[in-house]
Amino acid sequence: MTEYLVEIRNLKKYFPIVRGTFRTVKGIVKAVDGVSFNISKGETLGLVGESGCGKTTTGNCILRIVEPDDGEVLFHEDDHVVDIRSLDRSQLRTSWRNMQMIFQDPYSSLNPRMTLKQIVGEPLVEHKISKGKELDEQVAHLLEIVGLRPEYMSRYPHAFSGGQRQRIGIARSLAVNPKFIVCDEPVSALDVSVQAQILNLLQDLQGQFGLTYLFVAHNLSVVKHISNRVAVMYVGKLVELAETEEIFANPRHPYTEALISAVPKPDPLAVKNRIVLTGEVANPSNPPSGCYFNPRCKYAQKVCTEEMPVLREVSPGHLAACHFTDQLSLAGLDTYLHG
Amino acid sequence: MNESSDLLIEVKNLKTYFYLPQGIVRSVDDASFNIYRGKTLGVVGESGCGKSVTAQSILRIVPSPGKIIGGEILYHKLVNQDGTNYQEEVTDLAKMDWQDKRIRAIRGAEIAMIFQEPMTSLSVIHTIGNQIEEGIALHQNLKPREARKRAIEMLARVGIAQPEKNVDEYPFRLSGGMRQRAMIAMALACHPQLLIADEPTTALDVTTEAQILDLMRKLQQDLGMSIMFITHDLGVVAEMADDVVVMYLGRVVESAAVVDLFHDPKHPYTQALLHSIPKLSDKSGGRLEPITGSVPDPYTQVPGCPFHPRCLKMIPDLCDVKVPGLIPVSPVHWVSCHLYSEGKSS
Repeated sequence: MTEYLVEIRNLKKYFPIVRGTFRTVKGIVKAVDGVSFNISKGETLGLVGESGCGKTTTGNCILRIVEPDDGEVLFHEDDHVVDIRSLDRSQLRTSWRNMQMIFQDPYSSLNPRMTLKQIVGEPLVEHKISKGKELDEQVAHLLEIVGLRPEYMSRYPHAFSGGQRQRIGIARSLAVNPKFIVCDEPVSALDVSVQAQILNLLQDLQGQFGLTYLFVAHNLSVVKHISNRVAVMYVGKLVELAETEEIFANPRHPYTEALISAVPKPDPLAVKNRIVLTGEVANPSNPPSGCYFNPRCKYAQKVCTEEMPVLREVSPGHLAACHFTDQLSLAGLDTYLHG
Repeated sequence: MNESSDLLIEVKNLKTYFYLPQGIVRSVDDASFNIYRGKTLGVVGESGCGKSVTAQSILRIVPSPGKIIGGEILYHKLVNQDGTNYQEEVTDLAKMDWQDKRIRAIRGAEIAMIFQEPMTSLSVIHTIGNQIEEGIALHQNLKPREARKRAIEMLARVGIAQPEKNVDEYPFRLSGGMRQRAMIAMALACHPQLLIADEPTTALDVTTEAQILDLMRKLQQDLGMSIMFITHDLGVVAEMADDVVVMYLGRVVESAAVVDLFHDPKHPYTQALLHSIPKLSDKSGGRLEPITGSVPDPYTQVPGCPFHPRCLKMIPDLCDVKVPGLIPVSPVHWVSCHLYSEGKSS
């Protein structure tokens, strides 16, 4: 039985829409609306969805960079379980030694006025792990781990390319020796040739330090490459979750089917009978009734507009939230690949 | 091989340099390629490879201090097109002044462009109707009422719901996908011969991207224009292009039909690029083969082949000294690499 490292129960984050002179609340954006999943030790869980589906907010809520409104985030430390939401500020800071984040944009996530030593060493100083000569040694070591030369320590971020900056960000998040890292679109701002370097580095580090990743991304090819399991979000809700190969071979939610079909495949001979969804992602402040996907779903029936389907296990380890998942035979990835 | 009457744009040895205080940036350096009538040319490359500046050069909108310092951009225009009889008129866009009357008549009317981020390329203080009508009024001498009718027609054509109502909307009121549709409507309002699309779907979500790509293909069938499709996404190129040009540091390193490029790539850079991307068809959890190093600083001029510092098949004393020319490996497949010079083949 695999051990869980992180358990998320019914996580919710609602953002009020505040307008006008009197700051009245005009509506609520349900960015994350009752999301539950577990992440096992040493695995990579991919979290995919389109912009505005709440995947980044989910990552932020787990680390409490954004305060969740409801739900539980259970983190298994060595011998006990901590509910991250119940911690006070100083306890939370201690917990951050175990959970870190890698950000999307390596240009805006590094302070241009700090040297590499200050950037990478800051968590070490902040958590009183090391100082003085020892700090220098540790920073040098961290830079080496991520493939940068320790001599660069006194340089500023502007001297580095996008890929190198992302390495700096990774070194910083590794500084406190965390167990769990939320990677928020870590390669989407990088050039294709550099993406592969960073993805390989993330895999190496996972093997080397036994890290567990929540990998938030919109690029399905990247997510498929790096994840053990994949969770799909649509308008604040989880619609499907399964092992990577399984979800791509046998999607059980029409949205997942459409996503797989929509990815441009780098092969001109690939079969091009793709499903083009009509309409746009539902407005999270005013979602449609019933299943949020129903206005775009070609299989939708009356019950879909009335009742919200619950996420349930449709086969061992495969969860989907669709009323008709058992009746539909949805097209998997094999449909689009040529012999 | 395509006949010469199928040629729309012929770019020959184009050089566009930026003279900056820090040094000279050779954004486009000796690039040559052809765009054929009714076909889609995909231009791929990583950031800084000069693909956008190439497009700007064709339209003569290279921002200062950039200058076209050499080469030709031959635009083959068909005149008196009354069914079977037509004459071809060839003009060199590179030789004109950027404010020349002739290029101003071409820009937006015969060659139009759509950009990556519709929000920053549309005016925020004008309605989309205004912005589409402006181009129509300028190029086609229509009365305001007719221009407006045309604008509504175009909006309907690109799939914007309730065009009569949305013609008076401001861009910020529309979603990203709708804005990109409005941009396409604007670009196609004068029925251009060539549509330059600079990363038109990069800022969009996959399902919206699929919609826009579908729309572009459909409009191409209906209107018969050529498309120059600039992107870094090899998946999008595979779906959209008939021919592909791969650029690296301002140079064209390979040029081929789309199937050849993906199934028989010749240049080490193209091969490495195709190997480095994660593909849905690969088993998950495998290893990628990244290209070592990164694109060099734009101010440094790499001697010899621009790719040699990162190339695994580099031949010492040749690749780092001599710039390879474009060599045909087949009549429609050209590659700029010393591995394919006379006597050597692989």
